[in-house]
Amino acid sequence: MSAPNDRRERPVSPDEDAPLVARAKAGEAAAFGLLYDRYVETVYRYVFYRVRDTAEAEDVTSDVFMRALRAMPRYAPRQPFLAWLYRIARNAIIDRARRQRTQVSFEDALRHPDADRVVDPDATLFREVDAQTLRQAIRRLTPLQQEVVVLRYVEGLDTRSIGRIIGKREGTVRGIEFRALGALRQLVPSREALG
Amino acid sequence: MSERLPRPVVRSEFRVHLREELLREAPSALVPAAAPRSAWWRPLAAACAAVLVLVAADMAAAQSLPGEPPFAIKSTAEEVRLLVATTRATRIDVLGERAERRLGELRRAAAQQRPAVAAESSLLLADALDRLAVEVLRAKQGDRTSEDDQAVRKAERIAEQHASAIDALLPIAPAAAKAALERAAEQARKIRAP
Repeated sequence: MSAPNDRRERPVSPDEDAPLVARAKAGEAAAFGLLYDRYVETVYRYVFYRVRDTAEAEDVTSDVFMRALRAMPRYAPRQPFLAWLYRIARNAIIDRARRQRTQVSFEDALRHPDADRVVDPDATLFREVDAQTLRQAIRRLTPLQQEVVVLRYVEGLDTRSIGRIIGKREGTVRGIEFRALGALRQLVPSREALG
Repeated sequence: MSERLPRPVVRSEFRVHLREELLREAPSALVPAAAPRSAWWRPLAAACAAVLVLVAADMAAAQSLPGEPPFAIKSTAEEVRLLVATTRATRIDVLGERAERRLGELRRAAAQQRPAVAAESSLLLADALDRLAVEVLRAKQGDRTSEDDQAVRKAERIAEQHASAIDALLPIAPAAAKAALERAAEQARKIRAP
């Protein structure tokens, strides 16, 4: 199973970020603006499937960049800038979910009435359903599963890169991905089921 | 399975708006962090803070009256000074200063019209003069160094000032303080006696 990269932007290496990061840390607003330009889409996509709607995705994206801006003087370039942004985004999503108490656990998801509309486990998942349906299903995964699915199937990252971002080993990432896909197969209704 | 999720795109209005907002905020947010202090300074900073706290506590205690919480600090500090006073002359000096502090407290209590505090201050003054009298009489009866003579003379001057002050305070002192004040006056006379 591979994640196609056909529409992905050219990946930016951490070395390319370093000069901009240094300038932003030194107080140059324009440099932070360029970092924003470089990563706003990535952060938005990361957030998009984990919240309810576009408005919330925009709110969280704003929150992530505001947090990053305020934390910029303390950012230690030991970790890549994008990984740092992902971490901020993860925390922002978790904080928001705590506030709203809408984060649904995996177990809850399987108990959801829609889960009864079980589809053929071998049917294609992502090709046959619209983004909103997928988004609803993804939001019913555990936070870690959501994160892995988005990084893998939206960003097209490999398991090693995902492991670095979420702080897990490759094998663990594969396990999370496997369980996430299994859960999604049960959560996403097929065209036939939808009538 | 076709492993591809649709890739949402940021609305351009939102992208532009957020960028503007970030750049507005940036000048105040992007203040470079201060260089971390060397670990060498930390014990020094802690020591300075501790000294400041002690000085502040001592200053607060210096103005305290008997019965107030900081008074215990003042009292303990006096006992410590007495413990580390190794010579008779030093002990007399310390006890003399202590008696002066007690008299000052009694005056403040009287001025503030706090009879209970005045009564307790009177007792403490009498105790302080008791201890000073014992030390001075020992010095007068035994062999004395020139430092002892100097300390005794200083104690006698203190006792004289106390006697006058106590005479002035006695008529206006609350009843509960009178007995202690009379005892204090008696000790002051003993100290001045040849």
